[in-house]
Amino acid sequence: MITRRSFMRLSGAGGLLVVALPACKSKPGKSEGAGESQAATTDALSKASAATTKAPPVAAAGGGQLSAWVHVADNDVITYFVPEAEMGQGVHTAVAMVISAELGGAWHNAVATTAPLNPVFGRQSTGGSTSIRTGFDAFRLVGATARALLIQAGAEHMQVPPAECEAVDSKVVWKGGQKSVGFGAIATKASEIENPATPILRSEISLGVPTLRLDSFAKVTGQAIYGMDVRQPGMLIGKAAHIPSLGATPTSVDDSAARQVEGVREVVRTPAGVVVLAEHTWAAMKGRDALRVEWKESNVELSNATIDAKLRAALKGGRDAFKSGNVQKHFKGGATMVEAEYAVPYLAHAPMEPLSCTAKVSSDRCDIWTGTQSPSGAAQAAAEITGLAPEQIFVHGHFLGGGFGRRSKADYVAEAVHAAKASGKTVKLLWDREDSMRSFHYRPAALNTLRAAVDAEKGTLLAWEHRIASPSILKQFGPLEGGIDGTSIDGTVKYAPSDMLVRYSDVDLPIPVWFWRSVGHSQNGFVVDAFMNEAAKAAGRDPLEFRLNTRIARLTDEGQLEDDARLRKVLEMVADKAGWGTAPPAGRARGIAASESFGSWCAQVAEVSMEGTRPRVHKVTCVVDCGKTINPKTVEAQMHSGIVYGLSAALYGKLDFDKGRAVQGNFDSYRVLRMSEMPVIDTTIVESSEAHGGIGEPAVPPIAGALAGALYALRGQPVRSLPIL
Amino acid sequence: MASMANYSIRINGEAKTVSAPEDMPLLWVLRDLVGLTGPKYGCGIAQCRACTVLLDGVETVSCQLAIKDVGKAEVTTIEGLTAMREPVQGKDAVAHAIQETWIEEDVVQCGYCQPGQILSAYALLKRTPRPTDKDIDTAMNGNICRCGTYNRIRKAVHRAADYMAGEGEKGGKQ
Repeated sequence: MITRRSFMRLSGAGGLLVVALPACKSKPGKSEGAGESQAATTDALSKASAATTKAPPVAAAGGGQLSAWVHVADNDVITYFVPEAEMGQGVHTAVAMVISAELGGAWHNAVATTAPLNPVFGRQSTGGSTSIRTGFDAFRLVGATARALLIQAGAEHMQVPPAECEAVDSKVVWKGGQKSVGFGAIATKASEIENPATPILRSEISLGVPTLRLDSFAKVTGQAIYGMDVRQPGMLIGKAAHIPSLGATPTSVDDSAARQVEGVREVVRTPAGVVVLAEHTWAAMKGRDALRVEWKESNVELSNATIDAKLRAALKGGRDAFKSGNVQKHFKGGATMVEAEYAVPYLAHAPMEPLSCTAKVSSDRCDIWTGTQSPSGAAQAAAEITGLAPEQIFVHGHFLGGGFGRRSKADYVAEAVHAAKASGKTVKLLWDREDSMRSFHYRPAALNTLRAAVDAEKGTLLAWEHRIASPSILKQFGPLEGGIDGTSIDGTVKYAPSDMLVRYSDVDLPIPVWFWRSVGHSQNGFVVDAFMNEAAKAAGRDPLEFRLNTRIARLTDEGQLEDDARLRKVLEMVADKAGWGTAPPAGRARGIAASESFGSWCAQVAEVSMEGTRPRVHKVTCVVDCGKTINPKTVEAQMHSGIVYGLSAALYGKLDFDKGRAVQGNFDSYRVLRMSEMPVIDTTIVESSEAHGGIGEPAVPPIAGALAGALYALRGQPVRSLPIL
Repeated sequence: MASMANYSIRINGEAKTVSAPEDMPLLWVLRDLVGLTGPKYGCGIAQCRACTVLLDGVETVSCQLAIKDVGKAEVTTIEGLTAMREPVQGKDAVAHAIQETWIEEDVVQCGYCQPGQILSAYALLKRTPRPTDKDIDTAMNGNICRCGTYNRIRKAVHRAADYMAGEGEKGGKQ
């Protein structure tokens, strides 16, 4: 049966463990932090920072480290060391907001930075939209612990009882303000006090206020340092010869021409292949292109056609992933039936920043500078290659130019560590766009057959059968529980008549697959809502009316079915906001879809017209229920982000295979949404006091289904495979 | 084999001499030889414009411009645009307005494309002080953003235009 937990465990969710807190009285990490390569910032920039009103505060020397998460400087600047990866989702700001609220820190003096790898943080891996929903309580404890230390130190400083003090606006205040002292003045003293055994949380903290991001200034001035921007003394740029097709191995390498390229220093062999090391990127690129490598290719028969044949064959097998009642009686019994096949392709993540990693290896130490979703995974890869102990691996995290799941795979880190080890040099290994896009680890393709039986008279759904064939992501971590990959069937149990069957079949294909923003929801959101429209049409009902006539339910972690009132509510709300039931502007039609994923409920209506043969998405109305909200600005931004990401995939996204090769390599063939195609997006956040949901992924699943619904209404022909163009 | 040569170029108001192969794209000259990492590498084939710089004020895809072809043109990167906000160099009001509105509209997410977006927006506002949505689409369609910040970019451009027209208050809270 479906298990969400197995996915959560295996995908490295979490990242911050409450149990780690008693040990948290330490420096943020064993490195000098991210600042060292940022020191390369030019004088001109520093001056410019000082000249603007928007420049972030700069921590002065001195002060005290109150925990791995919190440093207070003499000048009252509070630096929050955030172990979660900042890849655009706004987690630095959100985590700092939570800690700050509990601490009583003044926000205008808040700074957030990437924490280096440190065992105190537990497993450092950002994914599954989990940062806030699994970390929230721990972040509060971090804030409460720091507050207790500052109150203790402040009370001693003012010679008053600590029980009569509170922490407000970066001050320890006695009796409502009769005496007070700023955090900065007592931070050193506070850092020397033992942690309280049980820090006491505030009875309530104020969150949910729209708050500007903390990283904007660095990012609009060009000061932000991404993995690609790292510079280290004596560093060489590395470019590796990448395999031309899946599973190819080099049989001979002639590097004589590569060595002649001006700027190329050396060519090294590693267990991972051949790497050209050069003084600058251009020489490394030309050197790599000048390598003459003979390859033995082992997957030349692999193509779209063979992939499709395997998926098709697998559909005949499979196992029950969810079963309720008996669907067969409807399909045999003369009810109105609808039947269709739905297909989605492999997809690349294609973050803006191609993959790169800088590494330095010596006999007793390995340093890694990169943008990674998983510092822990990076360290593990480095330990395996170097044979060094975990405490000898230093991971210095930088901003990520997008992640979307791809940067939780440490293959690019491993290649850099191999090159650094083989050469004895500090190596910045850089994958160009084609390397990055053709490095596999894609969202898996899926082939689906669906059948539904409807009662056309009553306008209800009687039976629903969904068979899925899709290569498993989870099996690379161990045997599948009951032969079912929970990620592949995520989002399939939603419109739930009493007679229902979901079957899943793994497919044995050699293409490495990986977590792609919203994982299985990314395809099932489309498949289920698009087919639901076909069922509605068979029943002669409006798509919204038909949905609301159906039991809307979700599977609990225990595999039990329960009514999903929150999904029903966001559907009703989005319909209302979008004017569902009123006539759209001439030439346009609307489609509706909704998904619960990663602890949040999201519904969307897309308003679409055709411009020639191309769909034009004019407007997307979006309603999200993510429980309590930390920062509405971030939630809204992530709704836009998920919609754009999902629209790009729905309209254009596909990774074709031919002779074992990934065909698309760059944005000319792997198209993504551009400014002129951007719809108006109207987002409503449901007011809620429920637990925090995830926000990085939940806007992706509904959009393709909403778009497909609108096109079905416009053209009368269902969209049954992606991409649309 | 491309021959090495010394090139004297003007970057962000300063003269620099670099020794580079003649076909080396300006992007890599800036990033690897001059040490300015504001211009970003995204695709290498003029598809994403993360590498945008200004060449005598005109937005230019620096991954496609060989160092030998830069000539006497003034190259401006995001670092240069930032420095232009400084009164000491003669404060550039458009540069200032764009970066301020980008922050106020909370435009950025991962931020990797934003140096290119901002320089494209700057060039647009210099030649079209009150751009329409269509002007923005035309000028900025080359700049890909994978995080989906397009609508906030559009708002920030309009708001920067409002600032320049002395109507900053209309855009919202300052």
